[in-house]
Amino acid sequence: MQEQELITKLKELKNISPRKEWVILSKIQILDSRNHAEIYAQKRGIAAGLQGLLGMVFQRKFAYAYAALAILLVGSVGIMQFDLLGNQGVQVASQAAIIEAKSNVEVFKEKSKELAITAKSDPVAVSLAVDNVKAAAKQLTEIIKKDPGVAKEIALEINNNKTYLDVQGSAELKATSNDLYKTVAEQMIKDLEATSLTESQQEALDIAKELYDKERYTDALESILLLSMAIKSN
Amino acid sequence: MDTHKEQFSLIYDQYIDKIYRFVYLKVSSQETAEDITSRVFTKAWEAYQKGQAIENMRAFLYKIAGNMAIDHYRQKDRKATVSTESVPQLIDDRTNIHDRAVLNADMDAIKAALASVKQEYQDVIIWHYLEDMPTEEIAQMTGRPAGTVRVMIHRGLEMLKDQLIEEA
Repeated sequence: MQEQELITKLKELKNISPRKEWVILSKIQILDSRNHAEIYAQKRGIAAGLQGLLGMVFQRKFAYAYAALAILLVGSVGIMQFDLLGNQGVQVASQAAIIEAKSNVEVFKEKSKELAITAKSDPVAVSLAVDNVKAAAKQLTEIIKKDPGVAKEIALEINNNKTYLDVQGSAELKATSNDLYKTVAEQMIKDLEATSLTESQQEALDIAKELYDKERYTDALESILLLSMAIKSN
Repeated sequence: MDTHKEQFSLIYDQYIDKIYRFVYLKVSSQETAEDITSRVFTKAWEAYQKGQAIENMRAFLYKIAGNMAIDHYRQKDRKATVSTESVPQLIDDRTNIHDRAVLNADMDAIKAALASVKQEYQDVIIWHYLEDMPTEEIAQMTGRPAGTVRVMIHRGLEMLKDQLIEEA
């Protein structure tokens, strides 16, 4: 390769650019967080712990994916409080609805884990385990549709468990779980739309909505959770 | 948004792509590049908030980014490899699949070769050819004479060519 040709090709590397949604969300996270060093240290510590634990059980790649997700979600637990946004127009669930949703979330988690274990130990029984997860996911979808206020209660948990489904899921299961993510993301977008946001937070919400419109529901949900975390820590 | 935030927000917008690209070309992983770049700007924002005197923000950001990339390899004790599963988007208007495949193969080869060039040469090549920084500016930023920077760019290109021949 001649020098000029090499230089031309080098210049084409200028086209490497970060993901647009990451650029916006990262900016919000940096500028809107109160104590960045502490938050990062916390995220890294917990993510590292989870990665180590999961690495023993699952494939390495899966463990990394879970740890990356944990980095996004650590600190988001506070979001699940219903006074999170403190704005009018945000859906608020009754205590009974929250208890029912939590109970169903536990069933969903349990069935998802069972599916992951069954797929490893007893491939014949996988279809039954898949059916159980589908039923639990459908149940949760119905609960949110009936009482949108519980969406926030469910969001973090289903995100934590989606990796089980990603690894083991059949096309039919993916469609069912996708419907669940769609319902949760839709409701959380509605809540955020009813909230006073800064310019950059609004920009992040627009990106989440764009992901939702492109039917990338899990990505949309992750963006929403990250945005909610930034709002919460503000 | 307060004035400090507004000012840093502009700095972020101005440099985020450049710093991400600089880090990505060193670590060859989208996830790692995003993580390091976030930490670079977090550190810069903390310094900015404290009112720390930053004479040259660009030099400051590149310095932190370079150090963090080095730390990454020290901690992980691993060499740079080009990840095929997490390559950031290369925006290209060529629609022909064959053309794009050839382009991607070429780009992957260049990225891999660049990642294996000695760090100081890698830096000047990125700044000069990807960020269009004149040698005088690189000299100012690195505290080296302009003549030395020119020699480093030349040597860096030679190393890159040798590396590409070796890989071919």
